[in-house]
Amino acid sequence: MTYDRLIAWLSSGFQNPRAVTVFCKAVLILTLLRILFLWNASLVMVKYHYLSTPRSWPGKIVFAPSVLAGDHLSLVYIFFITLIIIGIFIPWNYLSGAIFFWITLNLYRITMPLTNGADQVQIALAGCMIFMVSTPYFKTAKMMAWQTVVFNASVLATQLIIVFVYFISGWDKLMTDSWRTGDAFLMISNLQHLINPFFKDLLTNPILNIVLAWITILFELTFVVFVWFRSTRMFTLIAGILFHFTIAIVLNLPEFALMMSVSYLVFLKDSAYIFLENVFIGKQVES
Amino acid sequence: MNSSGSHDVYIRKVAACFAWIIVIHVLACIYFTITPKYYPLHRTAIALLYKRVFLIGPFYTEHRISISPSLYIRYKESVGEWSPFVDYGADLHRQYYNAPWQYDKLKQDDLMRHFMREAFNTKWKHSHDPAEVSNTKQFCTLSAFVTDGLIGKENVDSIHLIYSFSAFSSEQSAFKVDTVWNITFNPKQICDIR
Repeated sequence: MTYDRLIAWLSSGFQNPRAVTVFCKAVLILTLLRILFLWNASLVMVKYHYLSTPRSWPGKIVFAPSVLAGDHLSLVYIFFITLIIIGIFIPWNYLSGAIFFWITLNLYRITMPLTNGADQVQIALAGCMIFMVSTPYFKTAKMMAWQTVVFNASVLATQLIIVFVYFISGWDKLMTDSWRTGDAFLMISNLQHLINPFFKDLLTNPILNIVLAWITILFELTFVVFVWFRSTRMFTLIAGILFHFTIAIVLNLPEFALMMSVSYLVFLKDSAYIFLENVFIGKQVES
Repeated sequence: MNSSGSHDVYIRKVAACFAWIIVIHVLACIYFTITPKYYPLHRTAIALLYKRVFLIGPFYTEHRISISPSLYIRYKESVGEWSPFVDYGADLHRQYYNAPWQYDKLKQDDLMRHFMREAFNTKWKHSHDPAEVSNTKQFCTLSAFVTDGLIGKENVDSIHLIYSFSAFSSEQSAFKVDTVWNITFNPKQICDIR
């Protein structure tokens, strides 16, 4: 994308507002599911993990739910779930974005001993989602201009965050001996707290390990490029979903797999949803 | 016509500002990713911001995957013999595999490993003497979790923890198991704060 094309893209109306709305709602639904699945473990956690009160007054206000969760975790979770369900059904706006970001920060603080990469991704996505408001919010042309550009910039920022997740991991693996030689998969087979025992013995084959290691490195580094082109985007995203679900089964990381798969929705265009509508609804009308 | 023309000019100016921000942001992300840590700017506040907020990862780095920690626990009640050593983490995983909708079992293992790591990383990490770790917040949390959350019996008066690392040696292309912490204590006496 050249600089002029970038400016034109940022300034010519809301880019793919429908696809972005679907992305926002999907992240909300995923967060709702995560709270439900983490509930039991969180109840165990708060018995032993003390949720301290922030020292500053702004901190006390912003993180009030995380402090309350120490004694009233279920109430806090019910409150969060209620807000998330409301957010799913109302048009996405700045307030719902800000509230969701606040919920995400508090959830991160509450479940700190249980967090993983999925939480870091969620916080980044929630931060960008605040600005993904395509319903006209302002009355003046200047403010609408800002809203349009900020919307498009936040979508691009989210896409860049996802792309850099792969770039950073791919680059680190490319620079690491154990990944280049395939020994990394042998190490992974030894991670008792992660590896699915069904696959443990498979990962002791050195040739398979080199192949898997280079597939991983090449996927992560090529994602960075191919996701931007229409001709390769869908293939790249489908490959990514398969990649993450394989990891979810082999390494017991379903949360991260789901989070990354949902994040791919930010790369889709409105035309994809129109196509799906024509395929599923259009044909029913014809018949 | 003039107002729409001036609106177009205005929106393009706003877009140009954001375009520059995005270009600089991408260059900064690439710089902080591919350059070694001793390069300029890596110790600045902006680098910290980027590494915490915008640059998520890397995942499965060598130092994180080369060591597999395990916690073995046995206990004795006030009347009775020592129980066999149990790897509760492996047990929680088995429960998850038998019923994959019980995702909380994996999370409880994460919790156990978190408490173990916190306790191990206190300044008494090389101590095998319960007196040296008694009343430390991290060890008391671990003790409470092991006693109430994992063992779940009332009359436990002795707990024996063995924390071991199975580490991969690339020179030998083999795994080596090392006991890094071996401690026996009475959970009722070790923490006055319980």
